[in-house]
Amino acid sequence: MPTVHFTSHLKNFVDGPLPNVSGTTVRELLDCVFGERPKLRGYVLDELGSLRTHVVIYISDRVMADRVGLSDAVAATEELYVMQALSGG
Amino acid sequence: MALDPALERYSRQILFREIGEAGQRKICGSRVLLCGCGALGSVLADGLTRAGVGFLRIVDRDFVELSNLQRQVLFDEADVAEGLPKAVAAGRKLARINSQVQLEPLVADIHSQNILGFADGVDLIVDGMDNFETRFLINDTSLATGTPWIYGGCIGSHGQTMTIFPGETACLRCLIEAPPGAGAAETCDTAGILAPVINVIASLQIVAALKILSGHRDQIDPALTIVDVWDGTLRKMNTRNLRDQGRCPACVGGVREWLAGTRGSQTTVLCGRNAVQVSPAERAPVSLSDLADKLRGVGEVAVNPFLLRLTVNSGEFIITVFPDGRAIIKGTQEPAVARGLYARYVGS
Repeated sequence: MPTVHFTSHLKNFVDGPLPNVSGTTVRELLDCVFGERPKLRGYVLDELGSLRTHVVIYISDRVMADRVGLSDAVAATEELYVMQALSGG
Repeated sequence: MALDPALERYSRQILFREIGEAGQRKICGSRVLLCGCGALGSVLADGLTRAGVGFLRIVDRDFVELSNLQRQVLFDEADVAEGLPKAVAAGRKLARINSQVQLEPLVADIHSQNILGFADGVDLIVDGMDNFETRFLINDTSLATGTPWIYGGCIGSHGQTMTIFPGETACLRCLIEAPPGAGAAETCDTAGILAPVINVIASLQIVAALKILSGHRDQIDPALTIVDVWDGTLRKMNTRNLRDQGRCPACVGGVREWLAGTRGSQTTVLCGRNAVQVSPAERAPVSLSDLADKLRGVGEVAVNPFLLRLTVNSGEFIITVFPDGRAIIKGTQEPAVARGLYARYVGS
């Protein structure tokens, strides 16, 4: 099954270990993670369920294309990597 | 053959095969703009000066504070006591480190009206900033002038860097469409920062700079490098397909909103109130309760459904944030100071 990882900064919004996820699209996989983590969901997605503008999702080594519908396909062997650009310095 | 005496101080760097004497001569003849001289910027300035760039222009709007000394390696307690601007303090230190480098420290707030002047005649722009807004402006400037730039950003134990060759590789707006709304992302002043991640990211930026300036730009991967010093991890994320998606308004569409000044925060000096209003670049509702949670460790916070009030520096500044992201910064009449405080505590 696919795996979902968050950059260490976003892990601040993840309480406890991530659940096993199942699904074939980015939306389905993220829904598995966000179920009981509304704060994490709010950080990654906006009120309409689209990816926030400063968040990027990689599917293995390619950037997810559908930032609105999150419909990109994810194969069982692939990794979803959720990250955000950083402002500090 | 004996090494040119003028290059003797760089002998160990020259021994590194990829640099060599020819590469060092190119570095010595190069001109670099460093935007920001805080944590990343002071490591960058130190590294670039020691490496022997020919000319280094350092632009920073801030002054040295005690809380900077944990990670801003060019500064010391005497700079705090003197209340020196960071650019000035950096220039003094760097001149003692390498008198061969032509230094131009400038105390200034980088904005759409002056950045082209700062970038005039440089071979490379290096990012030592602490906010998204200026980075989008640097990105536009890079695209408009054809000058490569090296992004770096850090928070907590986590950092990122990416080199942008305008028109060739993915740019910052290919990676992120727009900066987060006010209060939507952490800053170093709300989430903290470990000094080692600064050193790692700045070091990677310096290596990228040396590759470009010594004539080895082909050895830079089109990738976003992500480091976490707490976990001890480093990942390189491929950015090749980002530009190919063709949706970037800046590098594909040719739009330069930040450089044109049509995007970016606006400031208004409030006459007779010793205060400046900052209206953020991205208008989005702010959760005042979430922002209050982030800010409780950095100052006195009072919040109600209509506004959040943060008092910092023992009452020197009072920052009042409204649900639309607008803020009134009391304690200054300087827009640059107000923008800096907004970037630190609210995020921009």
